[in-house]
Amino acid sequence: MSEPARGPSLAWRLATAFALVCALVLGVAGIFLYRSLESELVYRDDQALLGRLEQVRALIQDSDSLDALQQRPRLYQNMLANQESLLLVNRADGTPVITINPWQQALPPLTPIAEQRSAQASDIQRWPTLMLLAGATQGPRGEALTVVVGKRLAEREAMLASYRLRVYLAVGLGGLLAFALGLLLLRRALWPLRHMTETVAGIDLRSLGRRLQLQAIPRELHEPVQALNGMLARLDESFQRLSQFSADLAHEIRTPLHNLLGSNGLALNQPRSSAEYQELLASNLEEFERLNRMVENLLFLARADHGERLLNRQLIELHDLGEDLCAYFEALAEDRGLQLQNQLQGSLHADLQLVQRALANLLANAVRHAAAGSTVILGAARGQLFVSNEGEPIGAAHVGKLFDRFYRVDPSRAAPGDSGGLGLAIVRSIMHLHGGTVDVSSDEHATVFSLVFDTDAPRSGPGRAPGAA
Amino acid sequence: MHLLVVEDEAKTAQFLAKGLVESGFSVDVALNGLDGRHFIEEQAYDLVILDVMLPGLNGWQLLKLIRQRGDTPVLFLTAKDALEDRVRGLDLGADDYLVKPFAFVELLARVRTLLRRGPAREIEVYRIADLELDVLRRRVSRGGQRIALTNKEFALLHLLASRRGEVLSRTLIASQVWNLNFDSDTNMVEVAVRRLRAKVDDPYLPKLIHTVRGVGYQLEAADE
Repeated sequence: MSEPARGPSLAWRLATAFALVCALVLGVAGIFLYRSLESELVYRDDQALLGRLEQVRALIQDSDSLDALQQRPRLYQNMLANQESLLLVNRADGTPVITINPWQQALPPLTPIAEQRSAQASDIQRWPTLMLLAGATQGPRGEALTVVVGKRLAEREAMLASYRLRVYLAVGLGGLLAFALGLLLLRRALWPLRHMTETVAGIDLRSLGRRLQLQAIPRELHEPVQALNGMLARLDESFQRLSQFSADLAHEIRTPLHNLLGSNGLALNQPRSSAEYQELLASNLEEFERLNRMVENLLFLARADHGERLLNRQLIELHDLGEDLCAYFEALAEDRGLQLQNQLQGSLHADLQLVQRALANLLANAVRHAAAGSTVILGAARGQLFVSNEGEPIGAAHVGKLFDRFYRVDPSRAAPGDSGGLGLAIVRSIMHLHGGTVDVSSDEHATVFSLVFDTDAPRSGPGRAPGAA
Repeated sequence: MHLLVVEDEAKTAQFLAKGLVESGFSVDVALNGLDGRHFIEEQAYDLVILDVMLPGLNGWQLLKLIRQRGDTPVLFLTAKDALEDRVRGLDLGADDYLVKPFAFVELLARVRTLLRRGPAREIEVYRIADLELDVLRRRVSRGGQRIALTNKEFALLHLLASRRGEVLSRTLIASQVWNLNFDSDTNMVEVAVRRLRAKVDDPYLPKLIHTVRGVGYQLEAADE
């Protein structure tokens, strides 16, 4: 039903990040501990080696004869305590006095330190697998001897290697654990999102009134949820309007259809004179024109809503436009004892045909609703065009809906020649196309409809211009 | 006058042909683009009425064909009133267009206008029965009696007189007299005609301005 998700999973991404951070921390700690251990071991080995040299030197000097020394190799062996250590005592000519070298380690040439000097860590000579320290001394009979003590490092290396391995394992396993736990926790933390999704998925046309509950949702998500709720509210309202519009449309279409069906059925009921048929056809034509006009107007509104109608902007001389419009409505106005006053001045950059249409719709309304004997004014002020008439004020309850399609203040006053309740909706659409608005203000003095073209210009209250009241 | 109607919707084609024949034209009807091309290639017409959406060859292709052969006036019929359609039609050399649905009188008026084009002779004084309309001096009289008219009333009478015998729709009158180019929802034209009548027709016989119900208005001396 739904498309497979393409974007990366938030939980997976965050869990991976957790794992990386965890591994990094464990790795740094591991390296630090490893280095500490290593230097500790080196220090201890060094001290042991230095001590041994001094011990052996002292022992040799205290001994009675070298022969006695040679006869007690066990002593030295015990002193060394393990297989890793080696001890050599050589005469000056190179012949060995004591040789304890369990691994038969070949020795590189060494420079022994002087007899009087005690050994220091820097005297130790090191190779990757071996450390050696050589020192000169005197035997019991004053002969020169060289003492070499040393230690193989294999055991130490093995120990460090195993320690390193454990650090690697800790880093790897720690990372994996962090990933798994992170994923689990994130999944739980994101649960409200899934819940939200289910709620949203459950909303359809019949349940547009449902909203997402904020209580169960983490604070970080309140903003998007509120935005979503706002969207739902707007959709709900638009849909209500659309439903209302469909119902109104059906009603508006039904009236002419009803007339057509009735009169045609009646006419065919029995033979008629040709004059009667003519009368019927003419009456039908009027109904068809009414339907046609309604369809045209609705199409216009639909196109305007979709922004499909292109504006053909040109410089309009407002006074001339007003003259044409006043002349057009003059006859009707005179019939009703009204005065039309054209106060339009200056020029406007807009679509002439649309401005004509908007003003004509407003004038038609004004002439229809003006109090007998009053004056209807067509004027301009600060980027606005306005039409004002005296008459019964429009109730506040109607003002918000005045520009809705098919909305009539008084449904019983639907005159056959009027715009079928679309006139003001068309005016609003025309202003939207121009990036402007239409305002209305109505009180006991006058009703003023203003076309606001330049929405940036400073506006004076209800859009009433001087001289309009 | 010989006209060709290319229109695939049979009922529309039928009423167009019937109306045009009744108005004194001889009419050929093609119900698709290929038949249309055949007629265009075989015969000479004074005017062609073309539907845009046609099976076989569409209106644009036929229009190109017609333009290759001469400058026969072409009136386009289109169901879409999208702006680009109009622009395209006029760019390709259509002379006029009409958006469906239209009233037959509207079509008739356009056809007559297209056929009348060319060197138009400006008439200075119209005489219909005992009505006299002097265009230059802007004077109207009936039976020798001066009648005072407002500017718009004069313009309306002038329009009716210049298209004598034709039924003029309200839309056409609104656009010609008041310069208002939208389909008017209001009955202003009716009111204006009534007032003109009160001055020009009501006190006199015979009646000259006739209402064709549901269609429009006509200026003509009755035959009786």
